Amino acid sequence: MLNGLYTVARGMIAFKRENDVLANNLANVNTTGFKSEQVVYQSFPEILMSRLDESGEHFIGSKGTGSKVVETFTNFQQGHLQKTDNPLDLAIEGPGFFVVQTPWGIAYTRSGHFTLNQFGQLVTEDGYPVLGENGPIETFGKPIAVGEDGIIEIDGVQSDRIRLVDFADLQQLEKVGKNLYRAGGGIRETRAEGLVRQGYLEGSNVNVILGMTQLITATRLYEVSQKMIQSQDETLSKAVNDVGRTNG
Amino acid sequence: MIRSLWTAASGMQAQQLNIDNIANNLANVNTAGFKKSRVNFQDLMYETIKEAGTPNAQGSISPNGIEIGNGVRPASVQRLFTQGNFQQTGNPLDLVIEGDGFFQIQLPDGSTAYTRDGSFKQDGDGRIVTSDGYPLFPEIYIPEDAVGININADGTVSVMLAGEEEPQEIGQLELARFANPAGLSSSGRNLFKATVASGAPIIGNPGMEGFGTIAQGYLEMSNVQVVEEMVNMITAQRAYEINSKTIQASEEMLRTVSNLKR
Repeated sequence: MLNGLYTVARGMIAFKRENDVLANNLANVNTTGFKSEQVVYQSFPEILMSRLDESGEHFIGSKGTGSKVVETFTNFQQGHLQKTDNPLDLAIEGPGFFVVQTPWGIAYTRSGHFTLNQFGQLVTEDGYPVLGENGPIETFGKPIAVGEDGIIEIDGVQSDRIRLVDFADLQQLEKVGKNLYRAGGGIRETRAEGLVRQGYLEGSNVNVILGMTQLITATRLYEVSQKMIQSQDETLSKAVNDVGRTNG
Repeated sequence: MIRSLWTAASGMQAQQLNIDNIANNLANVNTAGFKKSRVNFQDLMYETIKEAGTPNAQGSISPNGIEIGNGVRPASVQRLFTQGNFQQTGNPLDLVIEGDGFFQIQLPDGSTAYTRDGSFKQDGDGRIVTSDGYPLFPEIYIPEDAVGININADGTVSVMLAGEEEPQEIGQLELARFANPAGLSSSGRNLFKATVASGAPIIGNPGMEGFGTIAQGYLEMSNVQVVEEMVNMITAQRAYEINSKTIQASEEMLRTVSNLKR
């Protein structure tokens, strides 16, 4: 009897979690290089039901026990390129990530709104150096030109190349906030095929229409689940208060 | 209670700051030497509910974890030092820098400020000053009997004195540039101050290594592109609306929960 209540309640928890993920997508609709996420549902394992009587155990069928969110899946689809004309804005067209040196190690980002620090190094807005193939990229305060292939020219002289990396399985990347990703153990960097576009930023790839539709669906399914809990509660109430009435 | 309420609220706050900044850009669309700024956003930290790569009940490794983000935050308001449009004025003390560099201005407290606004004037002593009366540094005095002022691309200032045939050189403009101009702090009145983030000023003559040249009789207008700002305003407004819808949806869910028990 009570199993149904728990099944539906699990669904409500899952829809709430989906709502959290959708809210984060929509909050980041204007965040450079942001990649949207979606939740993946999975049903709990079905259970077999059987009846026991004098002649033994009889299989009478199976029953679902609800669903849960098993994973969040990051959609790495390309965001639109937005022209800014700022020479320190870089976007990647196609696959790949910029490599950033943070105090806790190497991180990766698609967000290319870079700036210079007081030493003339190319850094993220948090001050983490962006890495070229020879380490941090020095501009010496001079004009910087970046080619499609990532080759950096400082004041017309070729100096370094932007380090772009890709991964065989992007889903292994861990989002750490600040537009950064971290690669856990066991994932190897591969060569990136993407092109670097100077003077552009990659917008967030959040699909607003899809996001709003999913939000509506999650909210309504939540409501439906609530109604189901209520009706089950009513049935339970009947069983307890009416069927079991003793004073007739 | 419902995380998405706070997540969406962070989105609304971020877009509000975005609109504030766009409003300031648009308000300064006709300010000489004004440099537009832009708000950059970052996603907030993620809560990892399940690590990727953990074995699942069936014994295989689940490729993805469950990560739930907590919204967005403005990471920086970045000033963009792209060149503004030139406006021809014909006024001999209106100067623009074509390329990199700032004019140096001496403030009354003895400190130096930097500006791209080249609408200079003379004060009562003939000294070249800004619209607020702060002198250009190094100071240049224009003699009372000067009939013409000529400022060269390399910053040399010469005047034609009444009754003379040859122009006379009276000074040299110097410019400052910075390793990271975006790190300058704006103090209003079209002035910037050096900070640790900008690095120390590098002083030099116009047209020298890395410095822009001077054009006389022009003003550098703001680098605000009205169309771009209007588009940014529309996207910011819609993003704000979308986040308010998320709050509504979350609120509805919360109400649903409270209606669960009758």
